[in-house]
Amino acid sequence: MTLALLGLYLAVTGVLLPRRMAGSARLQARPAAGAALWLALMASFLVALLLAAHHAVEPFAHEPAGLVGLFPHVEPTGPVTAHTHDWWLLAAAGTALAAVVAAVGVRAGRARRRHRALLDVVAVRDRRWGALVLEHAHPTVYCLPGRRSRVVLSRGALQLLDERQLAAAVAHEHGHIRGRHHLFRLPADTFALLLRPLPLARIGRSEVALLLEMAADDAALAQVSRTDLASALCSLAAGGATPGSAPGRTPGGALGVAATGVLARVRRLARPGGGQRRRQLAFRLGVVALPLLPYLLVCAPHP
Amino acid sequence: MLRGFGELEAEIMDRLWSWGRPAPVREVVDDLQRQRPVAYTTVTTVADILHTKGWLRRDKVGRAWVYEPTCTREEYTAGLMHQALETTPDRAGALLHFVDRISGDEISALLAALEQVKARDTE
Repeated sequence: MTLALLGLYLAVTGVLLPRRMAGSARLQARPAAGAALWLALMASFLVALLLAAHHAVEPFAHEPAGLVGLFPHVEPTGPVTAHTHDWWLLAAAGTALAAVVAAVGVRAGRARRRHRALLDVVAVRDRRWGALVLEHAHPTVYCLPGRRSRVVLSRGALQLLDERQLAAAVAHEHGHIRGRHHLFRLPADTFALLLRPLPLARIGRSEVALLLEMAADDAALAQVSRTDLASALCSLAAGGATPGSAPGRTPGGALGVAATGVLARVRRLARPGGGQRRRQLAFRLGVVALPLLPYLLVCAPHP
Repeated sequence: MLRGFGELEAEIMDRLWSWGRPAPVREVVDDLQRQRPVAYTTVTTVADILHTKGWLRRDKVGRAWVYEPTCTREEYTAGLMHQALETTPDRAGALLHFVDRISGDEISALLAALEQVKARDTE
């Protein structure tokens, strides 16, 4: 019974909900909270997975607890050990997970540090935009997040974009840096590395990335107009697509996701926004409740 | 933005790249000192660091080391751009991009969406 319920929960959070939630306009209306909700869903899935493993290994150490205990169930026969919680198991699982996340984070940090060291020597400082300029014809804008952050523009981007579009692109990157978006991506990326084939991992990771782009877009809108931001997005996205420029640079597999990303962002900028403040509480509740839900379902002692 | 050794590294590399020929530390120090006072030993130390990092190669000419960049500035730039543009899943999150590239047939949909944004802004 407990295992069946956990299995159902895993199917719902791992497969059904992610398919329903992908591209949700409600999440896109509050992108940072939406990204947090995806992370909470991933955490919830992991908790359920750990509980399922625990119950599968020690099925009879438990009398039915949590909500399961409220359903009709077979009363255990013979001496029943009280439902004890092995907190050290939880601590061990938590520590192992934290270690994996940290390892992925350290690797990304190392890649950033290496990139930055070379960047600081090769790139030219542009005081006007507070950015580093790479002398390269391919138009691109990106940032190195973290403590010693950098915003990078290529010469191609400086030539392609006008003043206001550049301001929009730079403001967007500062939105990433100020919002510490790389810290949101880290757990999503780790989850995707651990459980690659799962829809929640695949969809969740790209949705978190997209929602963070939207959050950075919103941060940029505090300084620039929607038109400036949208036209900068279009110019840069189309800039590399013209035949002949940087052929074969971007692997084909990533194209589809990336493309829907830009389109979704520009379409979102066209939508009437704002006025969705009321949802804030629901989001926070969801973020807190989701990871606890599997525990309450099958494990919490009931009165 | 840059401080300490990092800035000095950039200045040394910058000079060696723009000269386009091997040069001894003395020459670099003389050129740097036109802008600000800098100690010979400091530049020697930093050049040694750059050599250890693999950015400079050196040969002994007489009693002094003569340094030369291992790669051109353009080669390093191309390498950085490659890192910035590549989207392998394992590396995602190290860099955050403004926008990813799209294919030709999606541009029309994108431009239509852009028109809607413009229409919204002028309302």
